[in-house]
Order: sequence, then structure tokens, then C-alpha cells
Amino acid sequence: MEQNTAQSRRERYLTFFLGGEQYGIAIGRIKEIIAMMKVTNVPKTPEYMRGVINLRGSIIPVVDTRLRFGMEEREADMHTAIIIVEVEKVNIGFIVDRVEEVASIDAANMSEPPKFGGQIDTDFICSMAQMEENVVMILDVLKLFEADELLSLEQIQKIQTSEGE
Amino acid sequence: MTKQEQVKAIFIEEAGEIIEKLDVDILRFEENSADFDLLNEIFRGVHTLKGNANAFGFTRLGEFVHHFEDVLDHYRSSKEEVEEHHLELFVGSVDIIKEVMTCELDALPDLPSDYGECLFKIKNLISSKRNGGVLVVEVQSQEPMMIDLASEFGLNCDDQFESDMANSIQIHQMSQEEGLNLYRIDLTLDRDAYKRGFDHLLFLGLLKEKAVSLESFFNLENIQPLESFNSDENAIVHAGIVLLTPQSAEEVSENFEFLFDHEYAVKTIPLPAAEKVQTPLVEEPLIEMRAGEDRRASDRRETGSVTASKSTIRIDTFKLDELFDSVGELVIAQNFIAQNEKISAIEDESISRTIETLSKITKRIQDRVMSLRMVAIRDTFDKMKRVVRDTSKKTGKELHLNVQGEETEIDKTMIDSLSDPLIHIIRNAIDHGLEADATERLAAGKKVEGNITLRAYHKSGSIVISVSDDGRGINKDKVYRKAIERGIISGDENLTDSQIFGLIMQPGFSTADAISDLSGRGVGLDVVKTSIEKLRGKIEIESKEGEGTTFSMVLPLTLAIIDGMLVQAAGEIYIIPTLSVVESFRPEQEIVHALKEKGEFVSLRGQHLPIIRLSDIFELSTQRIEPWEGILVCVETESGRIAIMVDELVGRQQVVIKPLGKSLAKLKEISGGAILGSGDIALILNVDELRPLMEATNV
Repeated sequence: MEQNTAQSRRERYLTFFLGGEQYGIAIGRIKEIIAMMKVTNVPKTPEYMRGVINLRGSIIPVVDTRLRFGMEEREADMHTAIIIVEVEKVNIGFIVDRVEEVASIDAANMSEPPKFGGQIDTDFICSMAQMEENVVMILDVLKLFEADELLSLEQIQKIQTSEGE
Repeated sequence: MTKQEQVKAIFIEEAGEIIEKLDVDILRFEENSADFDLLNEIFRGVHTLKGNANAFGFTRLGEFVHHFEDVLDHYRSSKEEVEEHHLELFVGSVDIIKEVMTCELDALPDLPSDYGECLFKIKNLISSKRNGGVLVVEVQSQEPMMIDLASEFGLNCDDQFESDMANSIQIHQMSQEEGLNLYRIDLTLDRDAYKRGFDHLLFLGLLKEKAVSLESFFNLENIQPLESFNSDENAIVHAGIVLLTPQSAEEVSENFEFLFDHEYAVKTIPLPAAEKVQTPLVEEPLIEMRAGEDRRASDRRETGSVTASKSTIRIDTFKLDELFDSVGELVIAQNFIAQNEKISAIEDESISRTIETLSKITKRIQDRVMSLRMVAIRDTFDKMKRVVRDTSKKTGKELHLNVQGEETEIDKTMIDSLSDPLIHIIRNAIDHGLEADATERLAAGKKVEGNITLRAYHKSGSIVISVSDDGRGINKDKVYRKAIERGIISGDENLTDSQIFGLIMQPGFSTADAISDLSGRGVGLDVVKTSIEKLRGKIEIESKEGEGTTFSMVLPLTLAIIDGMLVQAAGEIYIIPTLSVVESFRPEQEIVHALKEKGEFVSLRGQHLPIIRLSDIFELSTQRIEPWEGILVCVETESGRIAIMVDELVGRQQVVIKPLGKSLAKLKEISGGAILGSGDIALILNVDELRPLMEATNV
């Protein structure tokens, strides 16, 4: 993803909230958004790996995004949603507090993420975007997948090279 | 994929099938070289392959196949039995075809090393046959023969051609029967037509099938003298056909639909008022041709009934998997309705009857769809015949192959990954299982000819594929010593026979300098073991010294569905594969013993089984209950029996195994998930992995 290029490029992002902070994921990889549903716990997995769900006959692992980013656990409410993201035919669900909107963000409004501080591991943030008075942290889904070994490194490199072209 | 690529992909798939079939057929033919039906079959395969290869620009393949076809054609038309030393050439040729095909696919510039040699032999064979007197006319390629015919018919110039055509048309016009049409067809095939897989005889054959009368004329003025004649190119610039047939003009034209438009013209000749006079027609109007094509057409009709009874359709396995998934969901939904308490509370006969019917139909659909994935193991076994033959030749051991249970059906996805292990085991059996030479066999009081038996059969919900030899058997002591030497075992263990035999499949056992009668060739039996385990199967070895060895691969019926026992433990529902369950019971307090530092045991008929608590293994914090308050499920694992402690048995059900996704695949204790009737997910336990974990937690 090219950042800070002179020409303005608009990309669309799905934004959602975790606590008071707003995050975004490039819309291309999002398969669907579903309401929170029963999650079957899978033993011996990291705590943030909440378990698996039955999405119309396929079993999909779901990650509690809050726990993944080291935030407090929170009871699910009517706004809690699962964002299903697909990379290389691997589907993963991410549980988020509230899905906000699909926003077009001008590449000119993007900036490098800060290297320190912040509530979450900055590795997963590929850029920060200014949206009216809010700052949206754009997540790098591939990094998330990679860190959890959801995809092999080889696959990730393949995707990156194909996107780099 | 472009259209062109798609067509090419289909060709490659088809060619692969043809070659596979050739491989099998040629071996059957080798056994019985008087079987001309089989030879015809082979010829047809080769012929199709030639057409396809040339159409897709695989010229090297086309060239070779073309000459091979000539040889085959000679034998099939002369009904001459193939000499034994030529059989070897046939088998070799099929090998070359296989290799050339690979070269073509990978676009390698190099041809297989013996391509030239084999082609030379084939050409030699043809020419020796051709000069063998009477047969000359039959085997010569068609064009030179046409010259003979040409002079016979005096068809050397265009005028002559036209006037003969006109004559023929006149004759046919006079002899009109009702319901028939007369056509004049002009074929002006391009020079490269043969390479695209077409020739005149093909069309004559097609037309003849429905024709009442057919007369053909060839303009042969462009034919080169034999010395400079190129049999790969069409030299007949113009051929005329007068056809009397009940078919419509469209139907006739259909025969030519693969030609370019300029290459053919079908013209309907108007008929004079139908006269009921029947003039006798030329009964066999086709000129006597060498005619692969002609016979091909008639062969096709003969075999028509055979093939019709086994009509097949090619389906992408991906689609099949999708269908399979959907049926899985259908079963789940049906279970949901059948088990729904609200619905069962409705005491209405028509509803319960409908639900009953629904469940029957669902079951039937499920069975049908399951059977779609099942294919007879015959093809795989047929391939093995080749392996046996080659290995026998290579090792110089005479042997006889017995095949049993070829019709046993097995999951298609499994078949593909079964070939390699099977090949390995068979080679192993011949190379190392059988005695080194005839004298050794005779000394052991056996016949010189060794026996290898390939068997497939069902055994209590599994499929067993076994390879047996009647060789010298495994020398237990040698294996035992070798294993100690290699550091696989320490020597303190008290091993059963099957455990000792199992050692030969351990990695590191069959390396290069391993004992001669068991050694592998680089790849050890451990690879076989791993690939069978991937299919959720296991290998059992039985052997008696001096009498032989049997390797049995025990495989699940299908990869996708297992019969599972649903149990509740630590608040969740888990599934234990029923195959591994021995029994389940609620223990008396007296038979449960807790050993300090070693965990709990239950004494069952003199055996002490370790008790496995799922809550311990999965590190779940649930209320601890005593074993006699719960239920113990006794299961068979690789490392002996264990008793899994559960709170409750929920039921038994066929479940569709679904992968948990890559991220969770590392969890060894769980082999997958299944969706229950309620829509909930239950995890399937991999019982073989439960025991080491318990030891780890308790040590």
C-alpha cells in the first residue's frame, strides 16, 4: 500500500470501534459482517482465539480483536459483530464492538503510524487516517494473519508481491 | 482461462486418461496377444491420441503415435498374431508415449533418450511388414494405394473426375427410393488436415453409417511419387462423394462441422418425381480401403452397446465437494427438524409421517452422493500390474500376481494418494520380500515363481488393501538388532511381534546400508506410513518367517464422514470416533485407583487403563467429579487402550468432518470439527494424541 503519494487516491475502508477507538480495514478483503453468534471454545489456544463458529456449514475460527490488541474483555451486546475477512481462501472472523461505516479515505489524509505509545501493538497498523475530527487506524490484515500463523509466510509473500506490482 | 486453454486442459486430461488406459491395456495384451478386440481398443486409443496431439501442436507426440498406430493397424487388419519380441516394443512404445507426453506438457526441448531408438524400431517393423508380400496393400498408407485405385478407375484428371461424378449422380437420381435424399459433397481438405485429425476416410466412415448408398471419387493428380511423398500431408485436393441417405442436409453437414467452411460443400441434388422402381445399387459402394477409419466406424457400432451401458459424465471434483458439503448441511437441517422438541410436540400423524419421509429421502440422497465419490479400486490395481511387471523384469524374479477384490469401492480422493504407498509396498515385497533367486525358493520347497497377492476388502467399517508375498518373511531378530543398532529402541522394551514389524517403518530404519533383505531405496517405508496416516489409516504387518509377509493398509471408508460417539465433558460436546471405541461403562468405585504422581487408573478385566480427564488435557477449569460419578469410554489408541472420562454419553451420529482452519490445525488433540443438528459445533477428538499429553501433565 503506497502511502503519502502526491496524487490523491481514495480507498474504501470498513471502520469499526474497539472501545473508544476507530479502526479501518480495506474493504477488499472483507467477505461479510455477521451478528455475534455462539462461539464454540477450542481448548489449548491463545486466549484471544475465541473458538470456532458455524457459518452456514463452514467452520471458521474467530479472534476476539479486543483481546488480540491487549484490551479488556467485554460482554457482547447488540452491537457486537463479527467481521469475516478472507485472505487466500482462509476465512477468519474478527469480533469487534461496533461496526461503523464504509468510508472513502483519501490517500493524502493518511500518515505513517506513530512508532511508540498507543494502546495496541503498532505492528498491525499500516497507517493513520484523518477523518473529520476522528483518527482512524488502518489495520494491516496480512500482518494480523501472519502473526497468528493463520497463513504460511510463503502465501503472505506471494500476496505481497502480487500486490506490489 | 481462455477458451483455447480450456480446450487444451480437456485434451490433456483426456490424453492422460487414454495413456493410462493404454498402459493397462498393453499389459493385458501382452498376456494374451491373440485378443484382437483388445488390440482394436488400443488402436482406437492411439488413434484418438494422435488426432488430439496434432490438433494441439504436440507434434513430437503426434509423430511417434502416428507410427505406432501404423504398426498396430497392421496387426489388427492382418489378424497376424504379434510376435513375442515385438510385444516388448509395444510396451516400450507406451512408455515413450507417456514420457513424450510429459515432455510436451512441460515444453521441454529434449525428448526421452530412447525416443529415437524406439521410433526407429517401429519404423523398421512397419517396413519389414510392408515388404512382406500380400500384406503390402493393407499396410501402406492410404495415398499410394489410392494411386493404384486411381489408375484402376482412371481418375487422373479433373474432367474425368467431374464426368464420373455426374454419371454417378445420374445413376443415383434414377434409382430414387422414397424418403431418401441425394447429396453431392465436395471435400477440399487443406494440406494440414491430417494434423488436425481429419482425413477423408473418417468422413466416409461417418457418412457410411447412415448411408443407403455412397460413392466416392478422388482427384489424385497432385499425388507425388512415392519417394517424395509426405504421408503427413493431405495430397488429395479434391474428393467427391455422392451420397444417398435418409438424413437431412443439416445432419449430413454435421459430420463436417469441425472443418473449415472452405473445405467442404454439401449440395442437395433435386430428385425427379420419386419412382418406385428399385434399381439394384452397388451394394458395397465404398472402395475397399485400408481404412482404419472404416473399421473404426463399424467397431464403434459394435462396441456401442457395451459403452452405452456404462455411460459416464465428467464432473469437476470441486463441484462434487460442494454438492457433498450441501448434502452435509441438508442432513444437519433434517436432523434439526427430526430432533426439534417443538415439532415433535405436535402430535399430528401427517407431520410425523412427512418428517419420516424427509429423513428417508435425505438418507438416500446422502448415500447416493457418498457413492459418487466412491470408485472401484480396479484402476489403481491395474496400474500396479505394470509396477509388478517392471519390478519383476528389473529384479529378474519370476512371479505371478493375484488380484482380489478389484471391485471394492473406495473414496476417490483417497485413491489418488494411495498409488504411491502401494507402489512402494509392492516393490518392497518383490525386491526384498521374495527370495533372491530361484535356488533359494526351491531350497525352501516353493515353486520358482513367486506369488504377490493384491487384495482389497471391507473389514468392520474400514477398507483394507493388502499386499502379500510368499517370500522369506521378516526376520524378527535381525529387525530387533538393527533397531537397537540404529537407536530406534533401547532394547529394554518388551515388544510384541507386530510392534517389532512396525519398527521397519520407523524413520531412519531403512537407510542405505540397512540389512539387505529389508532395505529400501532411499525412501523408506516411513514415508508410506506417514502418507497412510494422513488418510487416517494405519498399516499392519503380518509375517511368518519362511512363509511370507502381508502389508495391510487399513483405511476409513471415506475421508469426509465418520461415525462418531457424542459425549459431554467439561461443559462441551466432543466427538469420539466410534471406530476406536471399545466400550463405555460407569466404573465401580473399587476398580478406580489413583496412584501418586502417576494419575488415575481403572482396572478392567485384569488390565489397568489410564483415565484421561479432558478437563486436564484441555486445561479447562471445571468442577472435578470422581470417575465413578461419570462415564469412562474405553478407546483403542496407537499406544494402547485408555479410558476417557466424560460426564455423559449424548448419542451416536454420523458426522461430516470439517477442518478447523489452518490456524487450529496445529492442535493435535483435535482432528476437526463437526456441525451438530442444533447448528452447534462439536470438536472431534484425536484419541491417539490424548495419551502422551496425560503423561506429560502427570509426570
